[in-house]
Amino acid sequence: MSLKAGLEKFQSAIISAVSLSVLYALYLVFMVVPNERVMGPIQRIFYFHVGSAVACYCAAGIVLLGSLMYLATRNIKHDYLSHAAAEVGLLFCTITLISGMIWGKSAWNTWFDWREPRLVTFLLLWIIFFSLNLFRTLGDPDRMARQASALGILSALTVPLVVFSVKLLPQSAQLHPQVVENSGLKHPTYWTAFFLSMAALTALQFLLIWLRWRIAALERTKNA
Amino acid sequence: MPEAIESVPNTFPALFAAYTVIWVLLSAYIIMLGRRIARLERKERSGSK
Repeated sequence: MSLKAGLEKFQSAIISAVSLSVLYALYLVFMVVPNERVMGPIQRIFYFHVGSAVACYCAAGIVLLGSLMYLATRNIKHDYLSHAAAEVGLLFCTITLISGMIWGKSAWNTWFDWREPRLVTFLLLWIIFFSLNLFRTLGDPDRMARQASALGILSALTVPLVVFSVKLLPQSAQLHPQVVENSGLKHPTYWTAFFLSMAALTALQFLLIWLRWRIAALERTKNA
Repeated sequence: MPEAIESVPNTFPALFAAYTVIWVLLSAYIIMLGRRIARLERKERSGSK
């Protein structure tokens, strides 16, 4: 078996494993986990909402890694990694934001609250990811790599702000629940579904970044 | 019927909307990546002939 055929087999196996884990997470969320007593079925958004947020933070970490490596070495392959992670990060950031807004409308009777620190900081992260992707479409990717790296570092620096924003104000002044911090998941299946959804979406995020990175590298080879 | 089940609010439409958005976005992105990979592989095959 050639190296290329081996790599393709490995890629197919990874894609199958990630797809199965996402499907199993969905099965747990919809078929195993019981209805939450106060919020009802809408609480089931929580598993993919938090999973997407964690995937988005991981993507921001990869953007930071790629950007720093590009600035240190000026190797364009590192910029491709940063570019791929920024695109996938925007996808998961959008999913988190929209699913959170739908949950907010159901739970708090509002789509968005400008006084809520986590919502506002997360929107800021989405705007930075969106700007980063928009910026890359404007001109020659090789020439824009340095500026995009700087913006990429800024996006990653926003993540701690999002994570710790809920610590800045007392719980009474916030709408966003701190379910995990307050040990709010009482039923054991809540934890299983929570961790499995988070792991499955994070794995999917790594897979999508890898595929996007490969596309960028292949396109570069074709155009060279 | 237990009280907890009786008092559960009907939030299924919102749940359905949220998961529809999640799957539409994920599927659209995966299809886009798949098409780009297929196009590159076609180019690679035609280039090697």
